[in-house]
Amino acid sequence: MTFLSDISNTFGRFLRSEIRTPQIVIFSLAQPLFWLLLFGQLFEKMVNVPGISTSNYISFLAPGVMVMIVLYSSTYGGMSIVDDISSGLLDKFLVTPANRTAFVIGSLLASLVSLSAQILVVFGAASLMGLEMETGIAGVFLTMFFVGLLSFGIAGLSKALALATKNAQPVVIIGSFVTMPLIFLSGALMPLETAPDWIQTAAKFNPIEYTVKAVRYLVIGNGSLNDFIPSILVLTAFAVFGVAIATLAFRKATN
Amino acid sequence: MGEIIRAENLTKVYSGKFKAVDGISVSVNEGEIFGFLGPNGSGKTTTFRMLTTLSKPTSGSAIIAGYDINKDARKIKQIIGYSCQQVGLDLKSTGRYNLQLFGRYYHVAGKELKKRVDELIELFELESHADRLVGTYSGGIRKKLEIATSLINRPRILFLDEPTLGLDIKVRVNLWDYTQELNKKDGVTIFLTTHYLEEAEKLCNNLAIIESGRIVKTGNVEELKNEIHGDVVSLTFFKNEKFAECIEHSRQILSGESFLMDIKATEKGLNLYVKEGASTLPKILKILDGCGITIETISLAKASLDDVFLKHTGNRISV
Repeated sequence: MTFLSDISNTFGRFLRSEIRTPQIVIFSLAQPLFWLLLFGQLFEKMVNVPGISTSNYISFLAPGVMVMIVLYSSTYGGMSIVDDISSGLLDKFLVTPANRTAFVIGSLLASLVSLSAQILVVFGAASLMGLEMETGIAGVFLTMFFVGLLSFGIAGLSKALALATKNAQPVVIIGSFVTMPLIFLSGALMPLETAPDWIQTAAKFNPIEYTVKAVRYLVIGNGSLNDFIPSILVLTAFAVFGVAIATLAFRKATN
Repeated sequence: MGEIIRAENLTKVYSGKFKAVDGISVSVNEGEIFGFLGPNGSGKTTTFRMLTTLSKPTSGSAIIAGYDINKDARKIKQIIGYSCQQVGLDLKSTGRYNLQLFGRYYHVAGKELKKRVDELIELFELESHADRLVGTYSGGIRKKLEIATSLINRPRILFLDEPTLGLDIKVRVNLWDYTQELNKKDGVTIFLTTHYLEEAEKLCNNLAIIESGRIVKTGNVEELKNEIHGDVVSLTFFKNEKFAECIEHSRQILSGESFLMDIKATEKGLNLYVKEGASTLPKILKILDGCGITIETISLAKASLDDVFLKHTGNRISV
């Protein structure tokens, strides 16, 4: 019981601080719209490229934009912890009997709320631009599930990095260093069918690719259960890894 | 009252090399205000981190209210409060929310939480600030709130790490009053670190002088001061080629005198510890003049904790 109350206390604090900053809310919701419009226009003619299994590029693009949102929002998920370390707040929390893992999980859950809002914005805007969600509302929920797992993994790694270095700078540098390659080593914006072999091989190790694949099956509605199994396995493992390494770093940083 | 904290040979080594704390043993009695007096980087905060369960000792142990820091960390957390050197607050929330946040981490909820939060707001006279964002507070108000958050669980022992660091004298005096009240009225044992002599002198019953990770002297504040006896006459000499010679020569001549209790070299000259400063001053001047030694300045002061510190470490703590 106290474990759940520690999670909800942490969750509440992070959620409040996000909602209390309207600039962040506005920009984080405007960003997916902007990407959708920009990439939608830029790559409109791509429907003719082999590998795009839909006649509507927006249906192909929307899942890609979703994973980009996860990447951009979760990569910097470790920064809030750096603030709490330097202000001494984290030490004060750690002196209380609250559970340490709850600090990690609570803050990850809070970032899931704003992420979900962003995903809904993409679904809404993409529908207006012609996206048809073949798997309906159930597909939207399943999308949240896959995107959530990816976010746990990435934000967990980001927090671990922040805790290990106790510094926001490496998070920013490494975060921005890996974001673009991770997107282009996946089928987020371009189908992988026409990409060189080595990129296709690299994509097999990229959790982004597993998320894009799963979400795309859900949007276009052409996947069978077997198609989802690798994504479920890889992303669950990735999420568990993220939380575990963040928790481990948390324990280490506080000794 | 009995002993509530007993540390034995606490040692913390970082990265296998740097000894931040080097075998500290200390004993604090229930109901007292105990101080760690020492300069920045002397290992005060690291010792606190071990005693408050934030950091595991490399070796050594400590018993707090009967619980071992190496084994019963959870039990200890329930009965201590910790006020850190930094801000230690969520600046983007209100003061009231900060208190509630800490309360919930101590698993206090509902009516009981509300009651305790109101109590602390009243105790620290934060009524007019409680519903404003902490980011808008002045340094003094922040510190009051920060100390309040560390009292939410009604701790038996309160650890204050440099409680008045960087605050102006008016706010410091005010915080000293709160600290004394907590100690006297609620019987909270207080363990504080400071590098302010006035603070140690004003608040502490007993203190430990700490330098380079070691305790160099422990004792009752009054006794420590009495040990220095009477007054301090400070001599300084001109910094020229004869400087070292002057110090050595003066030391030799004065050592035989009956009024002298102790003599210590300082950066600029000599400190003479004497019984009766006012009547000794002319004698010292006469003796030195007779031997042809020129001094730059001579001054007289009551022995303070700074002299205690100087006597035991060879350095002054004054910043």
